[in-house]
Amino acid sequence: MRTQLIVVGVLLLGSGLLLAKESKLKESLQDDLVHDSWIYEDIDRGYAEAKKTGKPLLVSFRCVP
Amino acid sequence: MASQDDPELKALLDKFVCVRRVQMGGVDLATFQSDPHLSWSIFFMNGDKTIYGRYGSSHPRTKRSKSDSNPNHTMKGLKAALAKALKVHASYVKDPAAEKASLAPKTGAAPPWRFAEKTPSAKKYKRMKHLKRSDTDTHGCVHCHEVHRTEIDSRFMKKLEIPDRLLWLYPSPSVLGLSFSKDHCAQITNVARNSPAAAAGLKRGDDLLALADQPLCSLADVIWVLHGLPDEGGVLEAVVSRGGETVILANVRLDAGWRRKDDFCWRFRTFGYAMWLWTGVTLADDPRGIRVTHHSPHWFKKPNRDARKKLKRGDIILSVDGNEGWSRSDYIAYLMREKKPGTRVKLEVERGGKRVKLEFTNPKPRPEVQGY
Repeated sequence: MRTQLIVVGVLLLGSGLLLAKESKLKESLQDDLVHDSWIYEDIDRGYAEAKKTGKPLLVSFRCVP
Repeated sequence: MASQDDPELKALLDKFVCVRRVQMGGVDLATFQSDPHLSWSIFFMNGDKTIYGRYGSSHPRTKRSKSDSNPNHTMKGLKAALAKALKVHASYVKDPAAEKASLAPKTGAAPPWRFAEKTPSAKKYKRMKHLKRSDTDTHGCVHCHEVHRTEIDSRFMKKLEIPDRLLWLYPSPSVLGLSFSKDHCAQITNVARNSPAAAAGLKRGDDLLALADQPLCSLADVIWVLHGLPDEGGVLEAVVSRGGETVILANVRLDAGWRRKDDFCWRFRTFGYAMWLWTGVTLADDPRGIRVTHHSPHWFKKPNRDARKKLKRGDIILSVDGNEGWSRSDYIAYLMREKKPGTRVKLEVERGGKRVKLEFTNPKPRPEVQGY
C-alpha cells in the first residue's frame, strides 16, 4: 500500500512538473490562442497518444529566433 | 493558430493529436525533414511515424506586409491540408500495406547527422551548449538552417563535391513552370509557357492530387517531391483532377540541371553570407545580368575585399570568365564549387552604359570559422 502511494505521488508530481513546464513555454511563446489539448515538446507522447486514440498526428515546428 | 476563434479549424484539429515543438535538440532528423529555412512547418503523420504530408513553404517569395503576417499561408489552405491529411490517414488505416508504397518516399534518406546537436560544428555554436539546460529556454535552440549550412561547410572543408541538391534545395515549383493557390491543397493557378508542365499538358485550375505517386496535402508536398528528384532529372507522373471530375495522368519531364533554374540566394542565413564571403557584395538577378545592389556590411568580418573594392553599386555583371546569362545562384555556385581558391576571376560589367572588364582573386574562405 505504501509503495502504491509513493508511485501515485511520484506520478502526480511528474505530471505537475510537466504541466508547469508546458505552461511556462506557452507563456514565453505567447501561445495563449493554441487549443488547450496540444502537447508541448514531447513528440514521443504524441506518438503514444496517436496510437492509443487511432487519430493522426500533427507535429508543428516553430522556429524561435 | 487561432483555433478557438474558428470552429471549423477547431473541429479539424480535434481529429488530430497535436504536438508543438520549438526545440530542435533531440528531434530525429531521420524522420522530420523539411525545408530548413522555414520558420514554421507542420508534419501530418501516423503514430507509427509514417508521414502523410507536410504544410508550410516559403514559395513564392513575397514581401511581408503589416496586414499579411505570412503571405505564404492562409487559414483556408491549412484547412484544406488538414482535410486531405485526414483522408490519407483513413486510407492508410484501412489498408496500410496498399498505401505504404506511396507514403514511404515521404520519409527522406538518412541524414548525415541524426540529431542537430551531433553535427561536427555544433560545439562552435555557443547556444548549442544550452540545448539541455531547459526545455523552456527558447534561446537554447539550434536553427535548422545551421544544420544545412554545416553539411555544406563540412563537404567544402573536406574538398568533397557539393551537389546541386545541397545548394538548390527544396526547389520552387517554378522549375516545373507552375504556380499554386495558397487556399487549396495543390491547385494550379498558372502554367508558364514552354515549361515542363505546359509540355505535359497541365492547365490552370487543375487540382494536382498526386505527384510521383505521392498524395499531396499542400504545396510543401509538391516541393518535397522535387527535393527528392535526382540532380540528373527524371519524369514525374502527375495525377490531376480537372473540373472536379476527370482524373488525368501527365508526365512532367525535368532534364539534367533542372534545379539551377531556381534561386537559392534568398536563403539569406546561408547563401546571403556566402555571397559576401565570395563576392564582397549583395547581388540581385536582373534581365540584363547580375546586379550589384550593395557592398557587404562593415560588420561582416571577412568579405572578398578584392571584389568588394572593384565592384560598384549598380554594376551589372554580364559575364563571369566568359560565361553569359548566369543567375546570381549560378555565379555563387561557380565560385564555391568550380573556381579554385587564389585564382583570378574575370568579369565583364556594365557600368554607366559602358562595358568594363574587371578581375579579382577568388578567396580562400574557411566557412566554418566565418560565423556566417
